[in-house]
Amino acid sequence: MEPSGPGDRSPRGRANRPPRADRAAPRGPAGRVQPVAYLYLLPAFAFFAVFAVAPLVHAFKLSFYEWNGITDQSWVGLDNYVTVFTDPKVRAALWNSVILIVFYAVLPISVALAVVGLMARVRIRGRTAFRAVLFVPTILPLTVVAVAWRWVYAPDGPLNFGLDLIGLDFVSRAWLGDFTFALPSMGMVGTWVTFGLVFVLFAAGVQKIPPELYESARLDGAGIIREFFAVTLPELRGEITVAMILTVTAALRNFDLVFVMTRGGPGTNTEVPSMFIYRSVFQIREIGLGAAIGVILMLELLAVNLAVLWYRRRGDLSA
Amino acid sequence: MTNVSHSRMLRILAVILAFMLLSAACSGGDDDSTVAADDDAMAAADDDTAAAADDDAMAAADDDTMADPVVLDVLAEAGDEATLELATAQFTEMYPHVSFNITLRAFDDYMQIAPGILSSDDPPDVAHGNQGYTIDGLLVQGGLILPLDDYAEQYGWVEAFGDGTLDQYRFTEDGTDFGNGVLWGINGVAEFVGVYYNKEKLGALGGLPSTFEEFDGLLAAAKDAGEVPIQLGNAEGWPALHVYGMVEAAYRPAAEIRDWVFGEPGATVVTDTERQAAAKFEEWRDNGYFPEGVNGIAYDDSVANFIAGEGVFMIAGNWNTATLDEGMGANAGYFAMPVGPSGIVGGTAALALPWHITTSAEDPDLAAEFINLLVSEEFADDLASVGRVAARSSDTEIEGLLAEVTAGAAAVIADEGVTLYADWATPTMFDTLTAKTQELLGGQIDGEQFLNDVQADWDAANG
Repeated sequence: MEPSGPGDRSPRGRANRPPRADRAAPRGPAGRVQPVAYLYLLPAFAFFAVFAVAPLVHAFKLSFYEWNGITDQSWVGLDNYVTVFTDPKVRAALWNSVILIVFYAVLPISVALAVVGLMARVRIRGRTAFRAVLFVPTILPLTVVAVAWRWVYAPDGPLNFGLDLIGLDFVSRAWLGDFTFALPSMGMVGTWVTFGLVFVLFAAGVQKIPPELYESARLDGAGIIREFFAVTLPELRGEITVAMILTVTAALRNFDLVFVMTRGGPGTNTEVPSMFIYRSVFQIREIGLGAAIGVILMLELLAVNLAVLWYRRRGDLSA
Repeated sequence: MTNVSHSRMLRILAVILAFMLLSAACSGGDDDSTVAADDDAMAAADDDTAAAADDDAMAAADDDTMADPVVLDVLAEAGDEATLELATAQFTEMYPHVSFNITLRAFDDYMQIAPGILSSDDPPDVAHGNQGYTIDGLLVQGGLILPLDDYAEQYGWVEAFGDGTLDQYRFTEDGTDFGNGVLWGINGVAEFVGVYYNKEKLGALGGLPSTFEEFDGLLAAAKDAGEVPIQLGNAEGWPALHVYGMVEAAYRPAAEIRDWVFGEPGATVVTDTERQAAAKFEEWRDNGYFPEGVNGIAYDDSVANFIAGEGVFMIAGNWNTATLDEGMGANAGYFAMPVGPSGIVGGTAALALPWHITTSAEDPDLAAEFINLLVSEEFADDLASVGRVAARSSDTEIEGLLAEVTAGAAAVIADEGVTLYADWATPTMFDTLTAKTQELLGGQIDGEQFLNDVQADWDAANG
C-alpha cells in the first residue's frame, strides 16, 4: 500500500498524475512504439504462454474429445458440451455458484462499505491492528480454513455449543449436513474469508480521498448518509471494481471449501462446477467432459467479470 | 479521463485471472507431464528404503544362492504398509537376490495417480488397482497389466478362494465387461462390513441376535432405553451405503445383488425384496435409530463417538477392528448380520484392492511368486498380526475382537453371501449412491425414489 501521510493528500493524487500509458512505453521520434520494446515483453510472455496459454489451448482441444487419460482419444465434437448442458446436476451446480457470489462478493462488499463509510466520520482506535486481524483469513490456506470451519459447524462443535448455551438449542443442528443450511453455512465461510481483503482495500481507498471533499460536503450540510453516497461511494468505484473481480472469481472457482467441508453434499446441495471437473477427470475419468466444464466455467467467469468492467467503464464515461 | 486507462488495466487483469483459473482447473487433463513429475518426486521422497537395506545385509550373508540382484518396484496403497513390511522380509529370506523399492500413497491420492504412473515411462512391477471400471477397467483397456489366469492355475488360487469370489478381479480382454473373462488381479484380504457392538450396552438389552428380526427388535429396545441404536456418520455419503447394503442382503439373495454389480443384462434394484429392504431402512430412519444430524457427522467422528460409548451398534467395515480394539478393548464385539428373509448370511463385502503385475514388469514370474506369498495360507497368520482379516482360513489362534471379525467373514463366505460394493456397478455409481443415501437419510426422498434413482444410473450405463 502507498504511504499516505497528510502531505500527499491535498492535491488529487490520482487525477493529477500523468496518464500511465505515456510513461510505460518508450517512444521514438515519430511517437510510435519502437519494435525493440516488444523484446522486453518476451520473457514474461514466454512464461505466460507456456504456463497459461498452452494448457488453456490444450484443455480447449480436449473438450472435443472423449478420453480416459490412457487409451486413444476420440473426437466427439460438441458431445461433451451437450452432456454438460443437459445434465440437471451440472446446471444446479452452476446455479449454486451464482448463489455463492452473494456470499463471497455482495455481502462482504456491502458490509465493508458500510464500515468504511462509518470510519470516514468516526475515528477508530487501533485501526491498524483491527485491519491486520481482519486480513488474516485472506492469507490462510483455504484447506486450513475449511477444516477449522468444519469443526465449528460440527453437531457437537462450538457454534452449536454457543447456541445451546444462550438457550437457542432449537436452532442448533448439523449445519453442513442440513439440506437447507449447508450452502449458506459454506457461503458464510466465503464471506469471512473475503471480507478482510475487501475491507483493507476500501480502507486504503478512503484514505486517498481528499479531506476537502468531505469538508465541502459537510459545509453543504450533508449528513453521514448523504456524505457516504456523495463522496465515499463514488470515490471508491475503482476499489469496488477490483473487489468485485477478485471475490466473484473466488466464488465461481470455489473448490477447496466444498471439497474439504461437504464434497458437494448433503445430496447434491453444495455441488459447484469445479467439483464436477475434479470428478470427471479423477473419478470417472472422462477428461474431455471435465475440460468442457472447465471451458464453460471460464466463459462464465469472463462474462461476469466483463460485465463488472463494462458497468464500471460506462459509469466513468457518464461521470 | 485517466480512469479509462485504469479500467483497461483492470480488464487485462481480469483476463489474466481467468486464464490462470482455467489452466489451474484443467491441468489435471495433462496427465503425462504432471504424473511423471509426481513419480520422480515420490521415488525421491520414498522413505521406505529400510527394507532394501535389510535385504542387502541378508544377501551378503547368503552368498551361495546368489543370482543377479533384482529390484521389485511396488506401488501400493498406504494401508498395506505393515503388510508389505512383513511380506518383503519373508520374500527376501527365500530369494536373497531380490530387494524391494516400495512407494506408498494414501487411498484418494493413489486412485488419482495410479493409472498415470502405470502408463508412464517408468511403471512399477507390481501395483494395486481397484475393482470396477474406473481403475481396473482402464488398466485392462490400456494394456497396462498382465492376465493372471496361468498363475492362478499354477498356484491354485481359484480352488483356494472359490471361483465366484475372484470374479471381482475379472474383466473381458477389452476391459469393458466387468466380472467376466480373464483374471487380472488378486488379494487375500477380506474387507467385510459387519456389525460392531458395545458388549456392555447390548448385555443390558439382551443377548446376541440370531436372526435379522431379532436384530431389528434389539434396535427398538435400544431406542426405548434412550440409547443411540446405530452409530453412524454420513457426511461422506458412503458410510450409510454400507448400512443399507446389510439390510439389502438380509432381504435379497446375494447372487442377484452380485449380478447387478457386474452389470448382467436385465438386472435391477427395483424388485419386491429390494423394496422391502428400502422400506426397512426408511423405518429405521423414521424411528430415529441413527444419530441426530447424521449427514453432518464425519465418518471418523462417528467411530470416535462409538468408542466413547455413543451407540449400541455400529455397522461398518472390518478395517475398523484395530481402532476399536485399541479404543474399547474387551467391550467391543462383532458379528455378521444375522440371517434375514433372504435365508443366508450376507452383506456388503469384497476382497481388498487387487495386486496387479504390470506389462512392463521385468520378471513377471518373480512378481507372481511375490503376489502368491501375499495371498498364501501361510501368510494369513501374518495378516492377522497386522490386524487384517484373511479370506483364506488360517490355523492361527487369533484372540479377541479380531477372532470375532474373522468368524463373521467366514460365516458370510460359507453362505456365499458376499454382495460386493454397489458403487462398482458404473463409473458414476459412487457419486450417485453417496448423494442418494444422504437424501434418503435426510428425508428428501423415500425408499422407492432411492431405488429408482439408483437404477436410472445403472440403466444409463448398461442400457
